[in-house]
Amino acid sequence: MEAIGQVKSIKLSARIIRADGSVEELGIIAQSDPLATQAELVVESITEGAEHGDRSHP
Amino acid sequence: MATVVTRKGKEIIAARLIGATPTQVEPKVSAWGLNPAGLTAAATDVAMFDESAEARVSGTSSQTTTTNANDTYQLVALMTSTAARTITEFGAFDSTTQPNVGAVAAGGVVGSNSNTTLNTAAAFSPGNNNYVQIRTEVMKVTAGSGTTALTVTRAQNGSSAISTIAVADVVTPGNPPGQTGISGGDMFVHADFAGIVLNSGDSIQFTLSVQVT
Repeated sequence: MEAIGQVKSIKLSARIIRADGSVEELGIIAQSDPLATQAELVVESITEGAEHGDRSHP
Repeated sequence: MATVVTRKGKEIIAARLIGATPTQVEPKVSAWGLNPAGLTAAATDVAMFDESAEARVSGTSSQTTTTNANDTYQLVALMTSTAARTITEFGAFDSTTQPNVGAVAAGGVVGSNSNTTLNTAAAFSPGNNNYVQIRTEVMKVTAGSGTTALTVTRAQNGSSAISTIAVADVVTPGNPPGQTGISGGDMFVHADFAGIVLNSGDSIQFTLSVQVT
């Protein structure tokens, strides 16, 4: 079962541009919790099992 | 370190789907802050922990591809420091207006997770029935706006009452879902991160990517 219209991930990346013109790439400095994303996947797996009548395991 | 779409942000997304009524402008205005207590951004936040003095910047938005074509909202904004600072938080808003902030004064909520008097260093006017955030806690102002002793209801918008509020903590007004009383108080995304040390004249180009599945 695919969730519809959910925010899947949020990422914030940054680049410093110094006053002298030099540039420092910082890449991703903050992002949504990957553990939360993993938990959502587990819930989806359980739901799929229930839909197919298989309650022996997630 | 966290990046979250706030509860208000979810309301903003839904309102953008509807379109003209209710009117919801694009939340493409970036703000940065100092977050001196090293707090973690949460979906219950309605305001920055400690917004820096630089003006907010209206960024450039686009649709990009992460998994499926055009499934990601991207916002790029360049902010420049006017003094030596360590930047540790980012917010995306729908307005360039920075709400007027207050500062906590002794007594009342200081050190207490239950006291309902918010003393401020100077008269503070968020407006009665509007909301403020101190550290990670959101409070509703029920009386006393315009004075230095405001009456508040603790732990609003799903936040928890905290006992770590200290003198001089920043008090920032903001809007939870269903509220519009604070100009510049609609925060779409809030992020905290390891400090980025800047000198005056240095800039950060932020790129925010929100992927929808």
